[in-house]
Amino acid sequence: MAEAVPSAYGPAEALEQTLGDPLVDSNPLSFRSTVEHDEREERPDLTALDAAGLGRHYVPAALDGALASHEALFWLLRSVGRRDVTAATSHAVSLPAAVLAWHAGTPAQQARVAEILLGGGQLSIAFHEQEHGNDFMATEVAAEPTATGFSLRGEKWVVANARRSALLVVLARTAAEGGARGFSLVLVDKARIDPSGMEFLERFKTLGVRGQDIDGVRFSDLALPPDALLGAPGSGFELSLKCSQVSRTLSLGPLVGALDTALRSSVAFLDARRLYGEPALAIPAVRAAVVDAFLDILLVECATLACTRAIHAAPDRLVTWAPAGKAFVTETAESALHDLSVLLGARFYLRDAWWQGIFQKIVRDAPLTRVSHFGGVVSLAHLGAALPALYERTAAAADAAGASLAPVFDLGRPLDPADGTRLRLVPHGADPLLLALRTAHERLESGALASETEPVILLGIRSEVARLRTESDALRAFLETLRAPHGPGHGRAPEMLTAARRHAALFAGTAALLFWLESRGGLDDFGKAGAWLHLALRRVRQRLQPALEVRPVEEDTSVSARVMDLFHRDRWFSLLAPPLAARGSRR
Amino acid sequence: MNAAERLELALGDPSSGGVIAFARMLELDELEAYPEAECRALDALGLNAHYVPQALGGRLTAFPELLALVRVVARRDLTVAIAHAKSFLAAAPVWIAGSDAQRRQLASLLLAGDQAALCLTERDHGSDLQDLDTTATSVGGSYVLSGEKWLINNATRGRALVVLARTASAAGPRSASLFLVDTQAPSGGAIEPTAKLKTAGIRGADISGARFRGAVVPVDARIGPEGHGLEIVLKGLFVTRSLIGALSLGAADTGLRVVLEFARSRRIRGQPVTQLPHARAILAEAFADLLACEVLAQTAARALHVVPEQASVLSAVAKLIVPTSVDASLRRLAVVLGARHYLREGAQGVFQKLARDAALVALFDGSTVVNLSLLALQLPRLAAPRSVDAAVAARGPALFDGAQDLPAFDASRLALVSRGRDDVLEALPLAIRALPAGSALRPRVDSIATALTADALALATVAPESPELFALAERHACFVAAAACVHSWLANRGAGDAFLADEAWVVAAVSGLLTRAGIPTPVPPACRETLALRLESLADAHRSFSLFPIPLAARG
Repeated sequence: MAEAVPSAYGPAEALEQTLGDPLVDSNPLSFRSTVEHDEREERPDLTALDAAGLGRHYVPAALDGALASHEALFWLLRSVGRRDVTAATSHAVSLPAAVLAWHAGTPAQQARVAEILLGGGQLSIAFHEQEHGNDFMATEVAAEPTATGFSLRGEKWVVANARRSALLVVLARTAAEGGARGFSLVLVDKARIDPSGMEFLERFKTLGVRGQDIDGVRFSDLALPPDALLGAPGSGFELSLKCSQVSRTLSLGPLVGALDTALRSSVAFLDARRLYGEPALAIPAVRAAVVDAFLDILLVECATLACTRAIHAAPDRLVTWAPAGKAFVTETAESALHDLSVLLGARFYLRDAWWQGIFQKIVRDAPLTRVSHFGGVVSLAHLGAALPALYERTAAAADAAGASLAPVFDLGRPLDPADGTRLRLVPHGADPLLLALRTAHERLESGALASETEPVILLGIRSEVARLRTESDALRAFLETLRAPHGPGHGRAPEMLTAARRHAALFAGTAALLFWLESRGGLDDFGKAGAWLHLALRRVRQRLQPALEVRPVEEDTSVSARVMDLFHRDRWFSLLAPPLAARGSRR
Repeated sequence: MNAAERLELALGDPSSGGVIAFARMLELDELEAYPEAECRALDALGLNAHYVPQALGGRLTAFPELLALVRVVARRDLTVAIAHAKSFLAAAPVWIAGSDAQRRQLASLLLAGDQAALCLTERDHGSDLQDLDTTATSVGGSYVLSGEKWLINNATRGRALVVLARTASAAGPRSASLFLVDTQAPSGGAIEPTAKLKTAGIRGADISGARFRGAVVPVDARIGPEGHGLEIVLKGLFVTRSLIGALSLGAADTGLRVVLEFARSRRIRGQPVTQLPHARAILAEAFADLLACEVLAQTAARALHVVPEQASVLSAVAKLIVPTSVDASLRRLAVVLGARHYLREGAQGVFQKLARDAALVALFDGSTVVNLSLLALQLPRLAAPRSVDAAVAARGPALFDGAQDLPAFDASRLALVSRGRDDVLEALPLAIRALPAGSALRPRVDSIATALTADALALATVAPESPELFALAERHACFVAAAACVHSWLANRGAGDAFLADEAWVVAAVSGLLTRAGIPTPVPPACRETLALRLESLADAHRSFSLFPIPLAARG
């Protein structure tokens, strides 16, 4: 199975063929055109994505769409994101609202949302307010009941696509006193309102995604029909928190795709560059940095793959997995971009040189994922609040208590349909992923593994797993010390965010380990061999516990050879390494 | 009132107007327009004279003063600061190695308001200056320059170009010579600027290139002997790398100020964001990191006068620590600003500009990697253990005490390598002895000493150009910076101010540097709080974020 392509990649592969090589200027969403749109602050041309039917993948099959697998959808977003983060986010802007509708909408509401999406229309969510940022409990926009439905009043801020979208999902106060049940979601369907009650404020100028419409919107006693309410009255927070577990996972797709381009453009530069009389890639420190960026991508891939598959196979775990994934991916992406910028030197800073200046655009676009809807710090705060109980229960659980994670981590298994009713607001029981880390050493002793794996690699993996387990024990002890002196407010101490960050790294490392254990049979020779896993686990552990140590030369060499191989063969920088549109391919 | 304080007041308050107003600078950045009026205003205030040594009619006497002046401009805008101060970058090698005539020639140009540009890099060679394509061919009594320099600050506007060109056929350390070229002097060939490059930050700056098409320059345009170009350039870079931290420090001041103001005004669940422990920690630690960078920049600038023989070490340490530390601080501060860090408008719109601009400083004058390599090359000798000699002890006060007068700069004492000498770390045992009993610095300084011993052993096992060697070089730089902070605290704690006397800032600064060195060291909560309170009181008093704060121009 040397060249197995995951079935979830199918739609993305078709999209790759449709869009062609982004280095060819005339192709849709070519680097040249996306950089030019960014310069002019124009929305990227999304017609090719619409023509390819991308929006159908946002709509469940039961509503005549093509969304069956979120893993497939993630690959699609990754494929668009490697060309242009702005195009991907401008198109996928509909997803958070769509996820809410599929989760909580009435049949009529779902049918309307599906009609919009299948007709090429878009949706927005309007949550933020200028004075309150992520403090949604302070939301001022209010929906007051009237004889004919609701009256919506107030101002929302930094709303993506407000002007273009056919429908907005608005978080509004429905109980004057506020509180956990004081807010609801209302649908503002532009086809069903008097437009005079809704006004758009001047478009925001942003650092990155300059082509994306980000507006303010003001509601002046806008009359809404009685069926504008999405979900039960007072369920606004609960729905947002649950659905964000799905939408914030999907929001990482464009960023993960952009990392591929960041590394690919850097490798292309280094491959051609001679420094001090030798090829730049012959310099060991340069090669090591390339390997590290690739390992970051593999870790990010494993973390996001775990979350996207969990939407189907373990939705009850997403309450901690999704924020761990989001925090790990956004922070790792930004640090990887920073590390790569050092390799690119001055070229990382130029807006029209080297690969049409795409790198600097990615650097500016990337933070959007961190600051947008349920971003990095919010994710860390959510996670931090949940961790003490999660670690305590996991410590108390029997080793065998965890449900099997094979449905998530065995890539060969077809996914069950997504079941939103299993999403949770607070985590329950022990975390099977932490349990799997705790018991992984037993699986790593298996004879089959020993016969198929180079002893030095297996030894390396075992040793790193043992150290990650120690880290997880240390984290539990640390969380315990935090409980006592700070009392019930402990969740907000800065140390809590640090703890959450450390957990997020353990999450990504363990996800990588579990994919290897569960899916080895379906991986190609490189994936099976496990050198990548040893180095990836080592990288996670070094983040938790920095140490000066010599890199394992042979494994480093095999991974850097893999990077060059994927680069030359036009394959994704990925564990699964599916094919990209061929170099030079025109649409 | 010193020169920097005078300049600060003369420039006015940037948030409400003044000579270099944030709002105007944002506009120019959007338009990619060069800040003409602002640069002329700086000339009118005589800043250009500070780039020229006093002996040549200028006002440059002490490098710390120049550092402070550029910092004043940089807190307003990096495009302006870079566009203006880049003349000094080009001038430094001329001051160091130029003939009297060359020095006078350049001095009169700069004093008249002309600009100079240093033309080193080429499109295909980046930081590798030993293998240039631009040639200077000796023909009769002249040189003929051919080739193209790329990514050059002020290449289009600079009247004086200081050009590094190949004079030997074989690549290598003696392959190039340096030339002072007046673009307005008659020439047998053409020198033409190349198109402005589009950059992610300082979008208004003149970053372009120069194409030489057989330009004929007289033989006396050559600076220093033939083949010595690289050596002269390096020595000039030792000076500018020691000072370039001024750009980052200015950006850090404004970045921190913008975020602090926002955090104080923004309320979440009834309390200001500054009271949220996470945000408060980020602000306090960003302030501590800024102070560490200030100390390091000050030390490097003072060292040019006190021990120029060691400039190869301290300039590399300052260049590789200060810009990257400020970049990292700005990335953390952006989190406190939330969505506002992403907006190119509004009261916080200046933040995204300065963050984009500041990211370029790490690339200037030799990138972080170049400086790491330079340090790595010297590491074996630097790591060898030494006992403290009397000369090191005697130089301590001049190096670290801000109140001490500095000897005149003597360029002839600059050396390409420091032969293993580094006062900052060599004097660490003296500092350890001087620490008060019970100081929280003690365990931190002890861990530096332990790590230095361990790293010296590790050094013997790592390969050249290996990532491990680079990691050791970065750690070493962190230790030098941390030691400079300790010395600076000891030397200045009696300067009158309770904050200077308290060890809170230095404990936090050293902790941050140890963490960066891969030795995770928490900042004690009490130190954090002392820093946060100081930060708030400096903001209230409208003073610069510094160990030695200066009053800022009044608002309105």
